[in-house]
Amino acid sequence: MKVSKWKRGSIALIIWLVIFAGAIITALPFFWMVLTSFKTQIEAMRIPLTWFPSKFHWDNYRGVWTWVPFGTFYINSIIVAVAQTTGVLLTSSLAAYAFARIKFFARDLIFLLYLATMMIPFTVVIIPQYLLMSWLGWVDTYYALIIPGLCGAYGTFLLRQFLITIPSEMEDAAAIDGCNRLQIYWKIMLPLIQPALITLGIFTFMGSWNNLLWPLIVTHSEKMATLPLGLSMFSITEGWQIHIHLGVLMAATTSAVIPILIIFMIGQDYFVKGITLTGLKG
Amino acid sequence: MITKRKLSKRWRDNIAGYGFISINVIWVLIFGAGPIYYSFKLSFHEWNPLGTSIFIGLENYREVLSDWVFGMAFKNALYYALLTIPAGLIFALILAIALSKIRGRLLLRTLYFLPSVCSTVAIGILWKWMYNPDYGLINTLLGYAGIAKEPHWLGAPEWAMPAISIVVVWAGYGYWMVIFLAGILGIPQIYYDAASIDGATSWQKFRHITFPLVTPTIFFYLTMSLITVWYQFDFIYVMTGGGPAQSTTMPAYVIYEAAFRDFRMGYACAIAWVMFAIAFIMIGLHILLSKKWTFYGK
Repeated sequence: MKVSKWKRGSIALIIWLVIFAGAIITALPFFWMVLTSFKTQIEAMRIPLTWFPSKFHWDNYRGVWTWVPFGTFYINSIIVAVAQTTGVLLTSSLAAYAFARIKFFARDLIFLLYLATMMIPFTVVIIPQYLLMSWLGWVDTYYALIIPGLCGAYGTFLLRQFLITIPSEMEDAAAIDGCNRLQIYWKIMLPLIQPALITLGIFTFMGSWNNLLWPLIVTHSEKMATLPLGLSMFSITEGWQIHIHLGVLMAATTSAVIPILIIFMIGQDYFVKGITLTGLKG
Repeated sequence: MITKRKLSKRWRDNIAGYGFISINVIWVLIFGAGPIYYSFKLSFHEWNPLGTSIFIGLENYREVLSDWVFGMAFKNALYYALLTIPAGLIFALILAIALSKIRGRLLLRTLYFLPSVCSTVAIGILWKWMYNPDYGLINTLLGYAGIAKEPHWLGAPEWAMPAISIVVVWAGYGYWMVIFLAGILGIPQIYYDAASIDGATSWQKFRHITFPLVTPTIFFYLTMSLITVWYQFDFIYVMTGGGPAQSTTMPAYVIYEAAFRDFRMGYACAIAWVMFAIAFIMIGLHILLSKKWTFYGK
């Protein structure tokens, strides 16, 4: 008995050490980021490192939001993300319903081909897509930012998986009551797959929000830049770095990250449920 | 009368079906199938912005395979895969196992997951400065631990790729931990109870119950990782720009440079297709081999 108690205790200790180490490793960079965002230029770059700023230096944040069109970046990101999420949810659910519940000619073949296009990585398609934007004259406009992302094969695939599992009694009952397909879709199917819709919505929103490559390629002016792109300009372009010191840089990254963190903390249940559902089913 | 209604339903279904998928399918044709075809065609041409592309056959492909930069990118991708995939798995699994054994794991789960929701650009910038040799966090911490010879991280060709790999693992383990945790928690308690009755130790329980039942999730992790490894772009763009001395350049970044810095669209398409072929083969091998060690059922 004594031996097993000892063993149990030491196992518990190891577990808590692991958890503690993981927590520190995860949190420390964020901690440093936020603290540094309040430091003056001298404090931020001092050798050796000073952990805490002498006082909360809000100038860095003022700089971030006034020197560059940070607000514009935010607005652009919001517009693009909301538009794309709405588009994806609508078109994917419509298509998923059709692929899952409506028997139409060549349905499964079309779906298979559909899936096949999903397998091709973005690096292959991104160049023709850019050329198309260029040819249409959409470069540096909202059209180019939003429209290529308005639909998604992945969403259709995911929602179809959910819709397949729904028993058909509800549909049949509704059909007898005289509902047409559209009404069945809107009033019955959509509410039934609500968790999947929320998950898909969150994922699409995050993907759109954090997308760097496409806005990078397809916009040229600061006015149209989205948040990741605008933020990256702090790090890449030589011109901006004249005014930038580490404190300001950290203020910029904190400003970019805080809203997402807050949204995440509020909705994390959906996040996690969604990931595990797709992760385990996949 | 009955026959008429039957035909009518089939027609109605066809119309409904095609109607519902119409927007999606049109979109896939314009932004999916079309570009795939065009990209393939373009890879055999020397693209000219004026629209007069010249057909050059396999020239682009020959150039890709003999290009030094692409060779570096491919080698770096392999190195990157070696550094990030096992490490990511270990971190995620260990944390998932640890969390599965305690109560009140909600807060911790949220914490570990935080890096995964943040923009890669923000994380890239944060770590780029954490790696600063003089006043960055990393070298400061190493200094506390008494390690005097501090590496120059992103400035040194030998350290740059490991440095980026660390960031990638840091940003990713929370996401996978959540998935593994769900997998572990999904194992019915009965198995463990039965094993206890038979006198099994914790280690035996892990080795014969937990681990086998987690292998499908591990398989999923490996598959997804093998797919995404080749297309890492954001961190490289933000942190190193492919340097120093091309030690961190990777396929997606090479394609980006070829297409949008050098404006060699045809050549860039060829690189993309070569990468696709390589990735396809590797993932195919992985899926075939996995049948040997993935455990489904009882």
